[in-house]
Amino acid sequence: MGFILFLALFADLLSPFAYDRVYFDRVLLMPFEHPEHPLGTDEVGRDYLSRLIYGARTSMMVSLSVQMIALMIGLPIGALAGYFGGAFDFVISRIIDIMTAFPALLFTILIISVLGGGMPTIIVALSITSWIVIARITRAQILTLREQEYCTAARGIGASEWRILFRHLLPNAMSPILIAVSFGIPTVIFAEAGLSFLGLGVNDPIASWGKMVGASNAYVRVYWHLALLPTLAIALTMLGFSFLGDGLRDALDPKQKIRV
Amino acid sequence: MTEPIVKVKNLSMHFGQASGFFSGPQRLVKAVDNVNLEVFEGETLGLVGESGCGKSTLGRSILQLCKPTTGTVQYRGTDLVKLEGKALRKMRNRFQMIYQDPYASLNPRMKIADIIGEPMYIHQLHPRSEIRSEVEKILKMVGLARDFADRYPHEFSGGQRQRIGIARALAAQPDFIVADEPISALDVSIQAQIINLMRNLQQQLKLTYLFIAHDLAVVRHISDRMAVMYLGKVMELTDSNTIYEDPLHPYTQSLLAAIPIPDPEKEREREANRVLLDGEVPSPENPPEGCAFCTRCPRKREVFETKKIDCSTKAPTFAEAKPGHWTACHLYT
Repeated sequence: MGFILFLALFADLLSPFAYDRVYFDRVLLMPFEHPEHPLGTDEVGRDYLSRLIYGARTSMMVSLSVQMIALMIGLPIGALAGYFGGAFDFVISRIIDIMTAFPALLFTILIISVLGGGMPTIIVALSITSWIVIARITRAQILTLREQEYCTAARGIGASEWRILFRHLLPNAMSPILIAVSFGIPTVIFAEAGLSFLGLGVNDPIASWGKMVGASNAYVRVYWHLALLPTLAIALTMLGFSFLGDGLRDALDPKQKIRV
Repeated sequence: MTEPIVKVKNLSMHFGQASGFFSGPQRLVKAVDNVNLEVFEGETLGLVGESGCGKSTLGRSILQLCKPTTGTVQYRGTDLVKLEGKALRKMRNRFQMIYQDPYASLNPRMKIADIIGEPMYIHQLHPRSEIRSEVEKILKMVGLARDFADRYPHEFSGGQRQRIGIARALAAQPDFIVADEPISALDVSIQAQIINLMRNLQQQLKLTYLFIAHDLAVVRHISDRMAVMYLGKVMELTDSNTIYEDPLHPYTQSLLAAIPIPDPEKEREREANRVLLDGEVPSPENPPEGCAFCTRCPRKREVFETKKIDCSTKAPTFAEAKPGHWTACHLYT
């Protein structure tokens, strides 16, 4: 996980070639076939290792910004809906219901076809479907915690509604929400890869793992590495973020803290 | 006993089950029904009754933790029911609650210092720089070590947590405290400690308690007067000793008869003329007409023969049967 982030951050320094550098004389090399290209090259002669490293940057950028946006929209909306209830909650819950019932991928495809492709559009489109998850979890958390006795106790000592929400409810709701965010990251990576695979993702020549899998479709029988390597990258990253989610769950529980 | 510090008048708390699209006619649960009480400065008023009779709801609606349906609660002359929002919040430090469940009533993500310091901070009782030392003072008062302040609630036992709950209530500098079964979740050995702590604090700080419990022996030990509740209504109210020696209401009589005495001979003697209650408590959704206790009252017949009153149609009023001894039963009207 840290490794993937590291790759994403320092892609410029780490990769032996630029992601769009084309060698017309070195098209479709197998791994280790050429000493300069340890993982071979793709169908137009770009260094595959470099493309994989830059692909990490694309995935990270899309998934982290999508989850950030989702958190910023979903958290306040879910918290307000859960805490104050009433008409606002009703409207939000119905929106969440409708959005949940709607297949997310179709919805993103729709938005992308309206707004056109490109990284910012993908981020917007995926955020629109992702905040739902965060809002729903936040709302559910607040709803349960609101009935806890320490919440009554906070009201009893004269705490204001905002104080109860921010000091008592949200800190207790935070860990499942953060876990949802970290589990949401692989979902977004996968969605971005899926969209890119379908040709709706980031524009050429930016490297994206999904697009690399998609493009390798035609050559996969012979040049297996073209499909295998990016797929492996996606799988490892998703696994990494799932572990991060588990780790966060343990780390955020005050009961697990060891006292020195 | 001088002035009543809290005066509860015709207080009712009805919970309506939400009438949605499909739920048909609304069912009303009268958790607290037309209760009148006075709590005097410096006393402990015990409130007893079996589970589900509305004691906790009464306590909560007195402190405005749930808005009563009707009635008034006067705290030193101010009607709390009419207060809203900020005005009510500002007054909240003067009446506090000790909660039943010491595990659920402390925020697991706050340090003890923050939990106890919060009421001081909200009500600006001390300058911010002194809150820490005040917290330590209060910890000492409830018998906890000062370095506990930097720990989290889960590091403590039930008894210690209840002390923290008491400390939080005290931090607000209240003069009236509702203790909602503060010891029922604790071990017997710890119960006595908490009770004694509460009594000491009462003397030190001149507190007034409304002590809710279902353990009659404990309530007798701590309280000056006692109120007995049944199905949302107060049945009897008088000095703790009088209630034990000379209970008037048939419900109180049968409650007392149910306390076991750790002496087999006396117990056998009592066996002969024990009044045992039949049946179950009626559902508060569907309380009996007339007197709430009429479905199980062993002396219903007696009422009919001596007073010519049918308990199941006519409800008794809560009236003073003897000086300072109030009860709601036709036998004494």
